This record gives sequence, structure tokens and C-alpha cells, in this order.
Amino acid sequence: MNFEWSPELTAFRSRVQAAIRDGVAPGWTHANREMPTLEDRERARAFCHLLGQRGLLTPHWPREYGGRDASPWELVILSEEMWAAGEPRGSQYLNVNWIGPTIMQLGTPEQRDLHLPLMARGDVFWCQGFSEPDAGSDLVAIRTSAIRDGDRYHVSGQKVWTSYAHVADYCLLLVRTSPFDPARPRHGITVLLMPMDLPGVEVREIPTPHSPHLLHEIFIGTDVATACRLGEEGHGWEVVRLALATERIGVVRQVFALNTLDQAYEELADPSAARHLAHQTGLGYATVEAWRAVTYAAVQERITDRTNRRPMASVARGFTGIMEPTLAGLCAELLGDRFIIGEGDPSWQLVNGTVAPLAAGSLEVQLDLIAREVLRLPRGRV
Amino acid sequence: MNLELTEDELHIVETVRVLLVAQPGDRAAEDADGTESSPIDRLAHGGFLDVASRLGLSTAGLIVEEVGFAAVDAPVAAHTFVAPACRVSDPPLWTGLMSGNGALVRYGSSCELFICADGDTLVLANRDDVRVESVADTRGYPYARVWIERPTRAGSSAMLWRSWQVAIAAEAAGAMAAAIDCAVRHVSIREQFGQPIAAFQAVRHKLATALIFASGTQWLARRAAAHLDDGYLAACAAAHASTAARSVYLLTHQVCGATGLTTEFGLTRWTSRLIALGSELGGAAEHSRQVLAHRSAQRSHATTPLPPS
Repeated sequence: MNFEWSPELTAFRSRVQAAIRDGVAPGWTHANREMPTLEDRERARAFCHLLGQRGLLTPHWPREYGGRDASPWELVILSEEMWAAGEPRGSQYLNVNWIGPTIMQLGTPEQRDLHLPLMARGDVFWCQGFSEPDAGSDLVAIRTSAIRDGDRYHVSGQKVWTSYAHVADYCLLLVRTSPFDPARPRHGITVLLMPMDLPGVEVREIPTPHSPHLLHEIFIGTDVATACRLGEEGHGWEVVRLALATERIGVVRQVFALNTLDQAYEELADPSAARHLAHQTGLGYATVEAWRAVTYAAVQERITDRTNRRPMASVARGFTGIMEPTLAGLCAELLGDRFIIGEGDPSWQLVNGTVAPLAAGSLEVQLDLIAREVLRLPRGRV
Repeated sequence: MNLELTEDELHIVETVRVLLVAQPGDRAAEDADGTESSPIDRLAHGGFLDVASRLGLSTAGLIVEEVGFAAVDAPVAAHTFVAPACRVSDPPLWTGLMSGNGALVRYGSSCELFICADGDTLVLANRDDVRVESVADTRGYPYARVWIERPTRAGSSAMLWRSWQVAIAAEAAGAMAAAIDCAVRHVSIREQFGQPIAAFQAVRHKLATALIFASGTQWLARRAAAHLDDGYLAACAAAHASTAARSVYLLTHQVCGATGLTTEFGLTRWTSRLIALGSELGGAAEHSRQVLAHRSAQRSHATTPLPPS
């Protein structure tokens, strides 16, 4: 085991921090990451251009796609620093972390030629159309259908809880190309790389009190070219597994969490509660560091493991689902009535704490995965 | 950064595991002359207790994890990890760790050497230089109360604090893993309502949550062992281990029911130690206080980049 950041990795972190200082608009926070305004979208695009010019957007990609085969640890550093800075790439972290690599692995030459250069320049926003009204944790229950007709699919259905759909140029869309078969529930699922500007694609915002955290639904009644299909028809579940395994540790949130605790503790609202809250805050830092250590272990597993069976990814993701709400509660205690005002990173922690156990596979799904894959607990009839 | 265990580390962990679980009649339980030996003698004969001088403290930390898993009855963490970290040469196996005079010391009645944090000062004392009072009915380990009467001062106690905190976390990580294994075996065969209780989500989620806490303890202990000069990480490791120990205690006992409370069942072998480990050195309250103090110091030393001219 070697826990040392090499001089090269330390220098890389400095370069990322310099890019953030040079390119991120003052006052940018996670609320801007949601890109509620066109201005935010253009600021995110401009920052991604800067990262692209400095070789910091896709360093971990293969050279043939504009990267330099950097180690996954550079991706970790990139993710830590970006999340700590309010993720100024907007939704483009989806592209570079897992949608792009999935296209590299399964895309046709034409798909790679179209999409990867756009991502490597920082020119394109994607969203991920997985969940549906009746298919959340049980993703195989999706009903959005794609019926083949020559070189087109007639696509019809609805996606929900789709982050970034309002700014996305493309959607990694999960559809059913054959009806649900209880004997083979994962069969018949297909992935389409759907342009969002097609006629018949409508995005609506779903209001939440967590403004400006944005959730969207997508209504789809359109034709998508078969050339937009990623991988084989009916075998999209492997794409889902690959994307989710990467997504579970794709965002490394701990530096942001530590900074948030720093800020909240500095703004301690009620000095008379200082002793109790100091204890809680100390434990908060400790748990964040444990969470970080587990996340690093999950990254190592991804580097070492060649089977795609990655139990530490679920452990790390489960830790996130437990930790983010705990931090939100701690920030609420530290800030007192200032927590009512939805400004600043500590207050934004309420959104993180609410969303983290729900998104990218709910906490309950992660706990089930750990029970099955790591603890090897037997299943019963329930 | 490469968190994969090296071949040497893997080999050592696997060998130590075999030596610790060997039962009477197993070849691994015998010395070269065919006589049966205790787990601790096997480790000593194999040179595993002095691994820090040859392979470093990170590797010694892995042995402490295994010793925690096997619930070995000897102060291995003090001898194998803490004493070398404090540069105490040739410590006896029976070494006791103390924080302040009159403290509770694990295996205190049997120890030949005592390493003590007397405020900021490191103090050493041999058996002849202390007064020992055994304490009945202690949790997890045999403890004794020890007073040093003729101290030998040996520099700063900072490394004792750090290495002891990391050792607590490493040993707790092993004990947590063993407690979870024990609970997994039980829920997999214990049937209620016509099926193993492991089938019920409420039970599955409790053990999965316990595993998350245990994994955090294990990996943070390893990280802190690799950075023993970092007081913040050491305090974090112990603080998280203290709270995780209590969580794993509650979660594993909950799924094992009343059976889990009995000595015969075996779970308490580890869970009692989790309570003890979570309370040593002032427990979570003291570790947490140190975490905050270190974090504040780090932040006050952090430089702020100058604005562009």
C-alpha cells in the first residue's frame, strides 16, 4: 500500500487549482452547477474550454480521443477539486467521467467521431435518461419504448428526475426495444444517444422547494435514427451496469464536505452550544475522512479489478448516502436560523443531504448490493 | 498512490491469519519440534511481531487488524505498532500503554514495560518501577490500574498519542469485521417465519450499514498508519473508530437477538472489545476534541493566494 500523492499528482492538483482560480466566475456555487440560467450554462462552457486548452478536461481519456491516459488518481483529484469549487463544469462531469468512456467502449466509429471530440473540447452538455415514473430503483421496469421501423426507432415514453435535461444537447436514453419478459427482465433494454433538439422531445421542470436545485421530466414522442443506438439492440443492461459502477464513485465529494464544515463551524450561530457542537463537528471531520478513505479504496478497486464486480463502489456509495444527510444535520445545528436562508455551501448541504441517498441508485439499493455481493447473505422468499 | 496490498503484505496477512486461527491438531499450531504453541507464540516465532523494523509501520498495522479479528489475548498492538513508532527499542511482548498516572492499562497486571503519555511528555517504566492494582470485571480485555513511581522521561508524547490512536482504529477494524462475520453466520442459518432472517431487508440493511462503518474504520486506519506524522488523521481514525465501534456493536447485537448476548455464542468476544477500544484514551470525546484542534491549526497555517495584480 502506498498512500502518498506522488510529486506529479501534487503538481497536477496545483494545475487544477490554478485553473479554478483563473477560470471560475467569482461566487460560483453548486446552485450555479445546476445551470438555472443561460448565463450559467455559458460560464460552464467557457470554463470547460479553458480546461480543454490546458489539458485538464479529459486527461484520463486515451490519447486517441484527446486525453493522455492519465491515471484514475488524476480523475479523483480533478473531481475533488471541481466538486469543492461548486462543480464549475456544470453537467460536463457526466460526459468526461462515464458517458464518454462508455461511448469509447461500445460506440461505433461514427459515434465516437461525433461525440468524443465535442466532449473533449468542452462543447456539449449531456443528461442521463434512466428513471421513469414507475421505474426508479427497479430500472428494468422502464416502459419507454423504441419500435424499430427501418433505419428509425419510434420512441415513446417519459423520463423523470433527469438532472440537467433543460440544458442538455444529448441524452443517454434507456428504452425498451422488446416487451418486458419476467423470465429475462434485463433483456430487451437498449441505449440510444438521443439528440435533445429532435421534434417531439419536450423538457419540463418539476418544481421543488429546493430552488434552484432543478429536476426535470422529459416527454418523448419522436423518431431516433438506429445509428444512434449504443451497443447491440436489447443488450443495454451492460451499459447501465458499466455507467452506474462508474457513477457511484464518479464524484468525489469529501473536499467540499470538509470545506463546508469549516465554513459552518466558523459561522457557529450559538456560542453557548459550542462544546456540544465542537464534539459533533470533530466527529463530522473524522467521518468525512473515513468516507474519503473508503472512496480511495473504491478507486483502487476500479484500477485493479478486471471483473466489473466492484463491491467497494457500493460501500463508498453507501457511505455517501449515510454521510451527506448527517452533514446536512450538522450544518443545520451549526448555522441555527441562518440555515433557513438557502445561500452558501453549508446551506446547500441540505440539497446534497437530501439528494445523495436517492440519486444514482438509492441508499437502499446500495445496502442490498452490499448484503448480496459483499456479505453474501442468502435471499429468501420475500 | 496505490492502495493495493503488495505481495509481501498479502503474504504476511494470509500467513498471520492461518497462524491465528490454527486449532490444536493443525500443523500450523505446532512448533518445529511438534509441540503445540499459542497463537501469540506462533506469531513471535515467525517474526511477525517485529515486522515494523523490517517492513514498516503500515505493515505492522495490518497485523494489528488481524490480531483484532482473531481477538488475540496479548497486547500485540502496543508491542508491534506503538512501541516501534515511539522508537522504544526491544520492547517486551507484554508492553502496556498509559495515558496519565493511575490509568487503566490493558493487560496491566502482566506487562513488563509501560509507555505512558504524561501530558506532553513520554514516560517509560519497567515493572519494578510501577504499582499495579488489578481491576475486576472489565470489558473486552483484562485491565489493571497502574501508577508509575519511578518514571524515565523519554521526550515528547505526541507519537504515542498518534500511534495509539491509529492502533485503536486498526484493532477495532479487525474486531468489527469479525463481529460482522459472526452475525452473518447467525442470520444466514437462523430461521423465523419459515426462512433465514437474512432474507429480511431490515436485517440485511443493518449488517450492510455495519460493513460501511467497518470499511471506513479499516481504510482510515490504514491511511493514518501511512501518515503517522499527521496528528489530524490519527485523531480522525480513532474518533471514527470509536463511534463506528458503538454502531457495529449495536447493529450486530440487534440481528443476533438474545443469543448474541451469551458467552457461548461468541459475538461478545469482539463486541466487548469494541466497547473497550471505543473508550480508551478518552474515547470519542477526546479524539474529536483533537480532530478539531488539529483542523483549526491546519487552517490557521493555510496560506491564502494573493489576488492577481
